[in-house]
Amino acid sequence: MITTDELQRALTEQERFAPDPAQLRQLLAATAARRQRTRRRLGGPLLLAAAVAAVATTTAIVSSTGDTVPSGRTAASVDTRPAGQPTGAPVTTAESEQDRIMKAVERCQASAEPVRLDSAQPEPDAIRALGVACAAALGDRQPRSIEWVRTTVRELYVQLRAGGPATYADDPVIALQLVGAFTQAGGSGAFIVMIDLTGKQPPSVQGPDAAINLAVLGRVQR
Amino acid sequence: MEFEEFLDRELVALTRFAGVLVGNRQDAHDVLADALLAVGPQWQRISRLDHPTAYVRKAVVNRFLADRRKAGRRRTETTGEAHRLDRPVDDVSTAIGNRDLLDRLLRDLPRQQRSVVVLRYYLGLNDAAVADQLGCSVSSVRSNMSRALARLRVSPELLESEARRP
Repeated sequence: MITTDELQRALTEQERFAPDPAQLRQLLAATAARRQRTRRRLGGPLLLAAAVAAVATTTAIVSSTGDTVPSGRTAASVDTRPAGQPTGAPVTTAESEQDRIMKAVERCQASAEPVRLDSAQPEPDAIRALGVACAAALGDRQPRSIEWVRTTVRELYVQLRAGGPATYADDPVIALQLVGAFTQAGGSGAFIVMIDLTGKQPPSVQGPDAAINLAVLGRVQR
Repeated sequence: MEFEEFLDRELVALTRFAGVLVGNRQDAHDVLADALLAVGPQWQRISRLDHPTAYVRKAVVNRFLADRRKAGRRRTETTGEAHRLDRPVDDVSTAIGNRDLLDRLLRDLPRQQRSVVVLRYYLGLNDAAVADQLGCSVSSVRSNMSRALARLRVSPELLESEARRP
């Protein structure tokens, strides 16, 4: 019979199957650089305008029906799935992940172009509806979480580890975080939608790997 | 602690763990890379946990176990009929023969059982810690361990090897 020592020795000898740490480092560095490029490309006003547009459309529906879920028409307007593809699953097409997200953003933007969000004191239902609409546009109609906090530009950018605009650093903002299966592979991703409550800055979006701990910024609402 | 610092401190140990867990260098690379690519973007949250290393190790184990279905489609598994394999010839040292035999026995274990054996006998974790790493109950750990050890002990190859011992 095998003794414990023999088994432990046999297992330890299988350390010879250990992969090369240097190769893993290279892979991680390359992936991080690719993610950074995607984030930079998605950052800024483009996605935010789209998100706000989608939200505004949804908000109008929420106001009239009291329903926090967008109506079929609104959902359809931000749905990026090809015809015939079932809802509730991430979009699966041959296009690149980055192109898919950009298209989702553009579609949101087009649907909400004429609308401006009066965001001095947004209603929780309106923010939640915005989250639902944006998540659907990005490829997940049943995101794992939609959460937000009220904070300042400076505090949010510290959490995002990104250089923020110093001029408006103390301006109040809503940081809306969406976590769901936004990637084609169905993997988890996180987007942050920043809504400037003073209206001085256009909305902006960070993603698809912008997960932060919202609790350090203030009271988290869902 | 930044992700880079964590890698500086733990990557080598994680590669060894992945190698022992998976038993194949290329697959170990894939499993560990998948796990690290998944935890990297969430590192701010993970680094605040009490035991971030345990979390990452758990991610590695999960990837290894989740890979079962895909693995069945794309990989040629080693045969369970080890008697068909080449045997160590008599002029090979007993130590090498035993190592080869144990390697094959471990490789033939189902992944869940192999994971339990690796976590217990390589990392030295107790039942509760193994259960936590695998996301299962302690009783499940014990039954898997019992099956794994029984399989190792009663294997015909092992019995044959035992019989050849002086």
